[in-house]
Amino acid sequence: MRHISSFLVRNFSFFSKELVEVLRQPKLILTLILGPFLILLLFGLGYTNQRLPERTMFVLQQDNPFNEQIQSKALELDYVIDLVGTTDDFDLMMRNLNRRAIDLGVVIPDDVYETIRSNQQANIEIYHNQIDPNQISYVEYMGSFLADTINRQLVQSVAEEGQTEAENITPLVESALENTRNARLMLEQQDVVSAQRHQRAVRGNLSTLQLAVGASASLLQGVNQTFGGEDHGETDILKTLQTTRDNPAITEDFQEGQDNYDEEIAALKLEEENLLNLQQQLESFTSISPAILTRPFVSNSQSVSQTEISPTNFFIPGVIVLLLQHMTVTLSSLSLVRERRAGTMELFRVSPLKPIEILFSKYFSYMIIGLLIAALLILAVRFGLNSTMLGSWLDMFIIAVLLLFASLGIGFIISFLSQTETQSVQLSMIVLLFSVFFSGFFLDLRYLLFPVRYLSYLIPATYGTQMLQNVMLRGMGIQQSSLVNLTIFGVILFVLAWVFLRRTMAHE
Amino acid sequence: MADINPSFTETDMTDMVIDLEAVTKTFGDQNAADNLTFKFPKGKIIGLIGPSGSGKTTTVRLMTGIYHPTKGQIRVLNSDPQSFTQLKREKIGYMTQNFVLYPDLSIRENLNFAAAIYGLGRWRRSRRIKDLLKFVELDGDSKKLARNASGGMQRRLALAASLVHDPDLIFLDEPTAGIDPILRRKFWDHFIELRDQGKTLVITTQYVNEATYCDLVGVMAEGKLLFLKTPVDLIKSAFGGDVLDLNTPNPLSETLTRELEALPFILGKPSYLNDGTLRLIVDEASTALPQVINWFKSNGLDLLSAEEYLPPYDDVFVKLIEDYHANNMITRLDTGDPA
Repeated sequence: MRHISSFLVRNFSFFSKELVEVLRQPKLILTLILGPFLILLLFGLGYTNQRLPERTMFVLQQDNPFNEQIQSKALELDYVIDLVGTTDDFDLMMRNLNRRAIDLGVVIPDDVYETIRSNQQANIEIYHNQIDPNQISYVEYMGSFLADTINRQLVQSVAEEGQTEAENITPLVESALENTRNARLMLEQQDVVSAQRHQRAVRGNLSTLQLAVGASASLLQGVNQTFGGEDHGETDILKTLQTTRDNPAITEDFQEGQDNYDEEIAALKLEEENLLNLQQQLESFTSISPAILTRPFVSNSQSVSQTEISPTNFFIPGVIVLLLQHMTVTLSSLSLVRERRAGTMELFRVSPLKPIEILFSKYFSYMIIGLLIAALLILAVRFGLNSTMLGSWLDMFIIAVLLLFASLGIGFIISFLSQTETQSVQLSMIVLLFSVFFSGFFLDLRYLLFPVRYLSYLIPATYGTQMLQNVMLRGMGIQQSSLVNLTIFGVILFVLAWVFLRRTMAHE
Repeated sequence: MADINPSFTETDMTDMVIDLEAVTKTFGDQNAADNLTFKFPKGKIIGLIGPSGSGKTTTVRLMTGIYHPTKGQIRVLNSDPQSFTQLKREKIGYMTQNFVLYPDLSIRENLNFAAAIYGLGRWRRSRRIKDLLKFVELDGDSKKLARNASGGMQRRLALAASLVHDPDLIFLDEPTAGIDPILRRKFWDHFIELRDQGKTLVITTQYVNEATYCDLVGVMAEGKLLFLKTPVDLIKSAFGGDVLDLNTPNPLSETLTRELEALPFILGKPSYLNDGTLRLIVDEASTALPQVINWFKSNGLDLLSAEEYLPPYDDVFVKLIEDYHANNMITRLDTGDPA
């Protein structure tokens, strides 16, 4: 019984000692909890996720047709471009770019028409002075976006013109209808010559209609053919037009001297119906906005979590994980180095303490201290920064325990590799730096190539960030794979630390 | 070759707690402990005296199991220190040369921790700490942080920490280093009290005069144990016997001096000190002194004073070390023969 009691007392011997030592350093506690909280608070207050428009100068000839569109802001690019001005002086634009007075220089080619006629695409050159790869990617995206916008604008102009033409051709359709009706009446009265005159007039009307409706109607028809949809008749303009033009009553001349013209009269009645139909279709077509015709699709994304997550909220799980890992690694790495350098290890070697008991006792102590600090930190961000918490608090507790357990292992191994406290702090900082880049804190791990990506799984923060983001921001439970991996990782580190401590305490 | 004190009886030697046989500890190409062979009896204070780097701390670390001997065998409490059980370790107390406790903990908290690593339960611990704080006279400063305690208080705290689990065998590595003479005296009073309670204490010190408090004194130099004797026997080893100092009105003639030298209890040649004192080395002062006085009377010589001279241990130590360097003499514990 006494042996069991002694065993328990020895195994928890470090708890009050470590706790008192940490509590005797109020500045350290403030640094560990208040410091990170204030950093997050500042970040939350100061960071805006809105991208500022790029200060842009266009280089093009004054008589370039785009100049008017740019000046009149017809391209509707205000939310991405802050127009500084236009110039025909390329060097002026470059000077502005070099002294960072502008962010983008866009060179619009002069000979667009000739280039396209020679079966080549016209190239819009975009110049920038960025060094940030993310910004460079954005500029490349901007170039593509600008070209798409101009292309769309062109198509939209064509559609608008088509619609204007369509509005103007209503009298043409009415004239065609009138001529058809007159042709039918003349035939009914056996006046073939007059009917032929009206027939020719209808042909002329339909040819003019074909030219006027042209491209706009084709565009709408293309949308329907590509993506399908209920046929409301709007897309049949060309077909109807073709049907009216292919009607034998129009294509074939009326012959004199026939016994009756019943067949031709029936065909002309059909033509009248077709023309009435075409009239309705054209009215429907002109009611569609050219902007919708040229950009029939827009997107609207929705998160399954049904919660709007601000940039601060997104980073909070990662920051909590990184801070807890760093704090635990630093405290535990310093702990054993201090014992060794102070000489207490010499006392332990003479005492009945076994290496496993020292390690267990230290793990237990720092686990409790870490959990207390984690609780304070999490409460501070939850209620101080109103962070998102969709999941279970129990899951969060389990994640914190496992994260601390694995981080302690790293800290203790660092302490065995370090000769001085400075060395242990430096190594702890390297672990932090490594974690910032490889834990998925701000970079998606999918962007890391093999085998670098697998290095990410050598740090507890990777598992911790994944699990905590899922719990806090997605409201999911703990991923079994991460849970098992982190546990195995922590156990391996514990065993390694034990082996190192046995070696340290072995007789010299 | 070291010499064990002949005044230690067979009975004293039967219950040995420490037994080293030809133990050597080498660091690189240097012997920090060189062929050490000795036995320490139970319930005694054994002092290890020697200059810095003489191997005292190495010897203690070998006995506590911190160091593994390069050669030889060590038995402490009838066990090899390398394979001490936890129960055996609970019987050993160890105070390191430097203060190694925690500066951010109070004196009581440090003692609490020291007690906890020896598995003392809360109730037992509380009683024991109270007694110890009183014993080392720190009961009024128990809440003081160790970092704010004076050097003397820190040494007393370290001593208390080494005793907190009531060990039977206590190793104290220079416990009185850097402590004022009054406090040093108090420490030794504590050690003697512990010895009287039946504890065995192995104490290293650079203060040679502290040898007088020891039951056995080991003199070390260059990793070797030169002597292991009682303090009185150590003086004899230094001077070749007991010392008598005589004051005469006039110096003795050469003839009389030769006659005096020829007496059977006189060892070596009589000598005059600078102040005219005649110094004689005799085999046993208590028996030789009356015979010397009688010899003066029988020769009609005046004798102003005659007394046994007890040299300070500093002188004894210096003479022993000087003799060692001069003769490079090593004595063995078992035979006493010169190497």
